[in-house]
Amino acid sequence: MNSSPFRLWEEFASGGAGAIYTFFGTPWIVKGICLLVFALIVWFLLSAYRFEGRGRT
Amino acid sequence: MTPDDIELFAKKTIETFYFWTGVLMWLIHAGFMVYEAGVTRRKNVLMTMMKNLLTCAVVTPSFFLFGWWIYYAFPHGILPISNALTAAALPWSAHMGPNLQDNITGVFWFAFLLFSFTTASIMSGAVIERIQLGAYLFLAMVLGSVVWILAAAWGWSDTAWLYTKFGFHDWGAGGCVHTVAAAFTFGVLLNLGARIGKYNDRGDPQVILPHNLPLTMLGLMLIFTGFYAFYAACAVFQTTGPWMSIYLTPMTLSSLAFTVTMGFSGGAMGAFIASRGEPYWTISGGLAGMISIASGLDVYHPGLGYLIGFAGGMIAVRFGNFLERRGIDDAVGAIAVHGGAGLWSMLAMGLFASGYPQHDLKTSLGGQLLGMLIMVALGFVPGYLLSLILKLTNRLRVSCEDELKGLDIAELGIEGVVPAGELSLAND
Repeated sequence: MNSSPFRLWEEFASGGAGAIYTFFGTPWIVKGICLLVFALIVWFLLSAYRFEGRGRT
Repeated sequence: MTPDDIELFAKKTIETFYFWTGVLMWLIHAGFMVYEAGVTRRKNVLMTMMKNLLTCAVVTPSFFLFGWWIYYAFPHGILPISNALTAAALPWSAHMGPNLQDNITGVFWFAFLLFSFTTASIMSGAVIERIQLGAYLFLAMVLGSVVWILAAAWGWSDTAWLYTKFGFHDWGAGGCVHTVAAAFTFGVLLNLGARIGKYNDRGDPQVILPHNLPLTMLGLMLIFTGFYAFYAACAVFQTTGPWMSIYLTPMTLSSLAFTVTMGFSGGAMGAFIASRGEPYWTISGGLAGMISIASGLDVYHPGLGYLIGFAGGMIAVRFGNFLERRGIDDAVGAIAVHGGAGLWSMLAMGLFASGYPQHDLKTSLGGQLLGMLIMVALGFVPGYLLSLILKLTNRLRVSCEDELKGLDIAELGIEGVVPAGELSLAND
């Protein structure tokens, strides 16, 4: 998946471009990633409750 | 400050920076030592720790003699080249010792040496409790001073053929350190075999409990800390302009702060879920997460780093269980954590960070897949063949009697850990 905000080496190497991270040019994907991170945190917290008390069974 | 003063200051800063990354990377080895000491059974504790200590001892002189030279001599494949850099890397050159005109070579060599320790130490935990000390040290020396550094020459520099011809990108050495070490270890384990009692008569895996899980947890926390220094040492300091990757592409140290930490977090959470809260796998998952982001952490968005780490933590657990069911007794899950996450690291770079310009080429999935193949082959073949030779000459594994007795008594003649209730007797 092409996620680079740069097409040319000169743009990337100039250092003047600021943000260089993946999908910087497509902000909706970055927001989608953040949403997915949040969903995984919720899954993790629910799992933490579910895995409790195994020693008592 | 005059321009000369500024340049001198920059040189001293570079020297200081890499010196201290090397020093801090020793924490990884303190971590490996206590981690493995915790995993092993009580009867093998001291021998396991001796093995960790002697890994660093044996890799240091061999890396000085030929490891450093290999890095510069083999960027184009199996035929060595000869130029000013290879001449400077020979152990008798003016650069390989205190030199007032060159304050950089020594600290770079030191940082790479610590990478070598790490690579060799990845194997150490997998083979505990049944390998002969001499066999282990020989294999560790080959892995730490030849195999990984050849992989680095092929894929981890701006002159490496995998980079210049195929755009392979492995920023934090997920391939040449973690995958190569895991593949080498896999080859060794095929010849070494499982510990006595690991599998029952039907071939079902049995649980061999760690003798001190808190010690293991502490060990991994030390490894986590040391890994920041490991990654910092992967960044190339420039006197002007931004930091550079080892491929001389621009980056920042902030990317480490963001993505290594997010990768750790994702890995621990992913492994927690995949293992249903099992403590050993949960903390190992943190390391798997930190490795999973290695190849592309210079460009990942931190959120993406978390997701990749999360998947890496889950992969490590699943892969570890898969190997165990197939008769591979890896006592610490090293192949799953370093191999599973190392391969995932290179693949994730191709899947999620293709298209980045790298001088004449761009990062691509194809380049990453080729790199994965090369790293696995480069690790597995020497690990398998050398351990096979050792096995055929009866120099690989300790006797059944010694294994049952425990290596502390059998090989060292002393007990490493004396139970609290027996302390008074031991002191009499």
